Amino acid sequence: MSKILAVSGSPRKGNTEFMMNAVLDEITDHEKELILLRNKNFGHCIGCLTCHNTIKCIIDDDMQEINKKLSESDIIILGTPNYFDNVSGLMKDFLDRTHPFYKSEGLKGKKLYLLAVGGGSEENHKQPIVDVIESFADLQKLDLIDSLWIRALQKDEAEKQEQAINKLKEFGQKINSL
Amino acid sequence: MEARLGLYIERRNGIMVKILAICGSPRKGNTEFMLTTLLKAAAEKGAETEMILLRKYNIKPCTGCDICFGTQMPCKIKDDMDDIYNDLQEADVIVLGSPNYFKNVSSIMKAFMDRTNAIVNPPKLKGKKAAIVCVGGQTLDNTKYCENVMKEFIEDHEMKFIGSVLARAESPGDLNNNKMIIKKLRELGEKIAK
Repeated sequence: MSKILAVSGSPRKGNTEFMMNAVLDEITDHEKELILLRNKNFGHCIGCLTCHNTIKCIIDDDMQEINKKLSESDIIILGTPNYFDNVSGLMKDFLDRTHPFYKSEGLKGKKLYLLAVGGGSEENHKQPIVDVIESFADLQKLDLIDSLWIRALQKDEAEKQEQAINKLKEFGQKINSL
Repeated sequence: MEARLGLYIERRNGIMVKILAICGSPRKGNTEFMLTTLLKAAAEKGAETEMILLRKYNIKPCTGCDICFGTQMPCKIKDDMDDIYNDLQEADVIVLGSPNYFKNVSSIMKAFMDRTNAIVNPPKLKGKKAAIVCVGGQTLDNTKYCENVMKEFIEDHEMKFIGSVLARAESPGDLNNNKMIIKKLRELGEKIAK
């Protein structure tokens, strides 16, 4: 049994969250938890680089707890809407604040999955998000296993698509079978 | 306001290029040094220059409400972005500066970028010139990813990319005596002042 931590980087209750839940619903054989960044209180990385030596962030906010959960997890699922062909600002805040794991390689070897959503086509907009997360994974020595793009803009657009739901279920089942 | 570093000089020939630099570093370090060096060279060529230090502004994250996109509706969040929307639209040239954080822009810069969703469709910055400075402790190959994110942003806003300077540095002050980088920054500053 693995520990799965899912992190949703959407500022609203919409498609990203629906996708995360649809995937997690299929995961029954592992311990799982969903963190909604929009409900957490944490700030930008201030670039102090103290964590290069201490392996701990000096900012005392909700990222302390989130980083603890990250280090205890085996599998990480990130969910983000597409903002300017990049992750959301909220997700970027989270990514930057995982810096304490960078020098210490604290996330090395963990499995990473990506769920991305946006109003544009998969053909034009999935790859930029994958590139951003692949870059992050490369530096944090995470193992990016798979990614899924759903085209949806309005808050409830993903849940109205049968094909999208099937893809999400399949994605979740694959993780569950690990 | 302390966060605004204006370097004004006398108007020459009645035409003055307005340059606005956006500094996306959370600290007073290499990004700010690079932008200051570039703006100084531009000001010496007669440009009106101003720098916005995002770290001193209160910019809340975009909430994804999307009321602004494709409409003329202003962003409903009331914070310091109100002023920045005006500054951006009044500038002739916009210079974006960010440290490389995980082969991407800093989260402070990303928060700013997301909030420009309110002026991207219709594209209110269309046709403006834009330049980039980018710095990080990693290889220039890695810092290029950060530059590309900003290039994409410039494209999304239908601005014209003029040039960029990338540097390798980690601690504040690292670039202060780097003659090659200073030369490149001055050249780009003079170029965008025209």
